[in-house]
Amino acid sequence: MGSLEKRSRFLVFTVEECNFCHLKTKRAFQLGDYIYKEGGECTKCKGKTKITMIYSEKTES
Amino acid sequence: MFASLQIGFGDQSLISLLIFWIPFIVLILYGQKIQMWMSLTDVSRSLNKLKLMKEKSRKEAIDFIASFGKSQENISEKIDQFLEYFTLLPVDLDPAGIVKKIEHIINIRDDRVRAEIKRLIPSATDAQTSNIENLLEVAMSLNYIYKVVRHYYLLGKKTMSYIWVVQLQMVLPQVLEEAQALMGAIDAFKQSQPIGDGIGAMVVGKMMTEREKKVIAKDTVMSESEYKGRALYLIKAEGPGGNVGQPGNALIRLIEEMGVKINAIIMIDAALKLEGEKTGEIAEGVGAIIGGIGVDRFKIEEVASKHGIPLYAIAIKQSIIEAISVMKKEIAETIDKVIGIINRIIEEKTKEGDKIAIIGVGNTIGISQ
Repeated sequence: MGSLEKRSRFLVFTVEECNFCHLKTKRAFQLGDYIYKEGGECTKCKGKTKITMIYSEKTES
Repeated sequence: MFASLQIGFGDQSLISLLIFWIPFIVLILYGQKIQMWMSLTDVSRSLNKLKLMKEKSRKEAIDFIASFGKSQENISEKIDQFLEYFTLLPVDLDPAGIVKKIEHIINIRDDRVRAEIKRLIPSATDAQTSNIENLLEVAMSLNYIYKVVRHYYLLGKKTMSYIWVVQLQMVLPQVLEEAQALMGAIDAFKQSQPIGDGIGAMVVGKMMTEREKKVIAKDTVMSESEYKGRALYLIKAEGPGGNVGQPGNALIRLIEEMGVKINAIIMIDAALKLEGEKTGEIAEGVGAIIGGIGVDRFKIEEVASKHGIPLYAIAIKQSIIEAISVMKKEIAETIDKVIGIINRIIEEKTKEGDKIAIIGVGNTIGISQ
């Protein structure tokens, strides 16, 4: 089980959560993201979001 | 059809002689040599894998540092020096006071490595310096593992000692697993992504958000909070750079220098799971839950026993590979459950007016507060 094979089956995601309506948005990880960093604008209430999770997840393919 | 080959040999045929007795005699005389050859081939294959990993980690470290605008030729020599860098732990013939000596040596090593990185890349921020330090530690570990395995392989081959070789063959699956875990950490350190080991820091980091933070020990921050009439002192390593901080010194400072009368200590950390246990399982216990060389654990146990403070531990289970690779979803999603357990422990084990230290243990790479 090569490490390269293993890593290729996982993708890293960032979860942003709105500080007001608590809407969670999942997107692909971008360089510079870190947990508890201020995020963008909430798509639902336009409030400020915060990155609450960064994790790797197995892809379906 | 083989009748012509059935030449009398007592009551045995030549065929039974060929297919049974000759291999039997060969195995008696050369069996161990054949096993030795098979074991050496197996070890050699694993050694080649380790060599590839060692070279890849070296290249990744060079490329990463070169991305800060340095030419590869200039840094290759420096990286090779780093890879051979060693730390001599103090002599333990008279173990009294050895923890202080270990701490001294480790501090010298950390300061020297950081100073070398700063000299190599003066523009690097503290967080970037910590990440480069982590990346170099991975390359150094893989280099060391390769050299030790090669040493025993060559020793076994030279002495033709079956015992040497077979012992090496037996431990190699675990060594390879650890090496693969280190390889998995490279991407996380390069991109500053949180690793499984950081779950304790992530939990306490969440409790610290929106609160004032102050540096309480080297690379360690503290915030004050409140829960149901209890004062909470939240401690974690300073992120989002790759630090583990000094929670032992932080606790000593809080209790003995700042004079805060702590009634309970709650520690949260990643713990290695046993085979068969699920990733992300949460277990509760008592004692100082913290890994590393033992300096911080010693200090926390020392100060807790001196002041009679109970130590409660929460462990989030994961494998060694998961602990130093990018944090898995199953681990990240335990955060709210762990905070619920912390609140329950506070309610059950303390009373209103008490003061509680909550320590999130682990590497804070990619985790702020």
